[in-house]
Amino acid sequence: MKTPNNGPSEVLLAAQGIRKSYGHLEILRGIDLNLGTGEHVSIIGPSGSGKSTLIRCLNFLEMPDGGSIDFGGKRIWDEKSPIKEADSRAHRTKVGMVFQSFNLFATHTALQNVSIAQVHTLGRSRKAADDRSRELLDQVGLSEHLDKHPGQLSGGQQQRVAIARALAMDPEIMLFDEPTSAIDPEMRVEVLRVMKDLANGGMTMISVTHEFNFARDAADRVLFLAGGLIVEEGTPDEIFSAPKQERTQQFVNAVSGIV
Amino acid sequence: MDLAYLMQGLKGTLLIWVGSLALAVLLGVVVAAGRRSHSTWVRSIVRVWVAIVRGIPPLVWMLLLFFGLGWGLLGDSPIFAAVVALGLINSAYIGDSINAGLSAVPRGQWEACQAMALPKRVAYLRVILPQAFPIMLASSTAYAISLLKNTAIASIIGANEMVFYAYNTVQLGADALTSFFVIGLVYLAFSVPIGFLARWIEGRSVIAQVR
Ligand SMILES: Nc1ncnc2c1ncn2[C@@H]1O[C@H](COP(=O)(O)OP(=O)(O)O)[C@@H](O)[C@H]1O
Ligand SMILES: [Mg+2]
Repeated sequence: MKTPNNGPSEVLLAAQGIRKSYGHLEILRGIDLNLGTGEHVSIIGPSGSGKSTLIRCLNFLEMPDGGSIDFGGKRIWDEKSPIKEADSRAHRTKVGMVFQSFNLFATHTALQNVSIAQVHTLGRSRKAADDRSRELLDQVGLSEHLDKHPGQLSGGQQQRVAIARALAMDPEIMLFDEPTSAIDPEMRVEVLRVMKDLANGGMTMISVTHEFNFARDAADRVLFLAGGLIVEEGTPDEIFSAPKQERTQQFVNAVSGIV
Repeated sequence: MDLAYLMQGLKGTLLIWVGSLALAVLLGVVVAAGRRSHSTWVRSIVRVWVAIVRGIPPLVWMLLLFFGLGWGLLGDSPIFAAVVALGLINSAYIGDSINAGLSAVPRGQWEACQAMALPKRVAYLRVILPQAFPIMLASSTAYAISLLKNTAIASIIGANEMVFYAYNTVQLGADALTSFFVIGLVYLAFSVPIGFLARWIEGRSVIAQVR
């Protein structure tokens, strides 16, 4: 079980009725997603169900077509008031994102990857940024690899650099989009450990994942997304051990290898 | 062949080459920006422009500019007319190779920049261009070499470049085979090292290594 949050937490993120289509294809058909400070929600669901699209809407890498998003108690976006470039940039500094394919900057070392946005987005001095980067890379177990380029690191190592890079912005929330799906199974454990430590340390997180054991251990709540809707929502135990919906049961069984 | 004569011609050739290359890169940036514009209008205009520029032979462009379209500005200087003609034509090619270089940078690199709210200028200068540049340079270099060879066409409008000088010396009694053989070697002396340089740069590109 995840370490529970102390005390009542206020809502940090409230997304209501999020809709998104690509052409005629309706991907998200009205998703509500509320997240308290310090809470960790895992999203599971079949591939193509819109999990990536949903979390990419939360930092405006995709613009939703409908609904509203509140962050820290303030309305930052709804369908009637499109967000300004400066506001979406300000929002993104508070939201850390970890991609399935790492997306480390190929011409930068691990240290430079973690420092670049501290310097150029947050305006920290190079020295302060590098000090913080070393600290974070140490925290994710990569202090030996500061000067390596992404091409010289394994997938698991690259993803840990990417996590450090996102943490370096001191985000209020972290979004993980299938962070271990592109990593060899035996290399996933280190990444999952880092994520688990973060969750237990009180980081507010949304993780899209197929790692049910991780979600069981590290999530407060699990959402099952299918067909552009949240089919079921509950504690890890409710979703993985006693799902109410037939569809959830089928999906959980299929992923767990139960026929 | 008289060496001083050869050097004179070489000066003309290099002037046309460097001048038109500079113009082509300058306009190429505009073409690439247009190709990547969000506006369908801008993209269509650029597409038509590129088709026109590429669809007419370099010689015809030179003749057009030298005799007709120069509005008196270009008619006096064949070298200047050649620079403009070759610069225009190659802006289309260079623009497309700039565009192709930018497109070769994986989308995820842009998205990471956006997700971290990196200013656009920083994203371009520090993340995107360092990866795109080797690719742009490799293909642009191929065009630069064909541009060098196309400078020879300017002899027809009377630009004082190598072929023009060589032809004149032959008219004055120099041995034709030797004269043209020598300038052939001079072209090679420029194009071969540049080709090697391009391949070396391309080999060092991060994107090429990943593939
Ligand atoms: N930029 C896009 N343009 C068109 N269709 C897209 C785009 N991005 C995603 N899709 C489609 O939207 C659907 C949901 O995609 P995605 O959110 O990536 O699903 P998931 O992450 O759950 O696998 C898929 O069918 C995908 O093909
Ligand atoms: Mg996905």
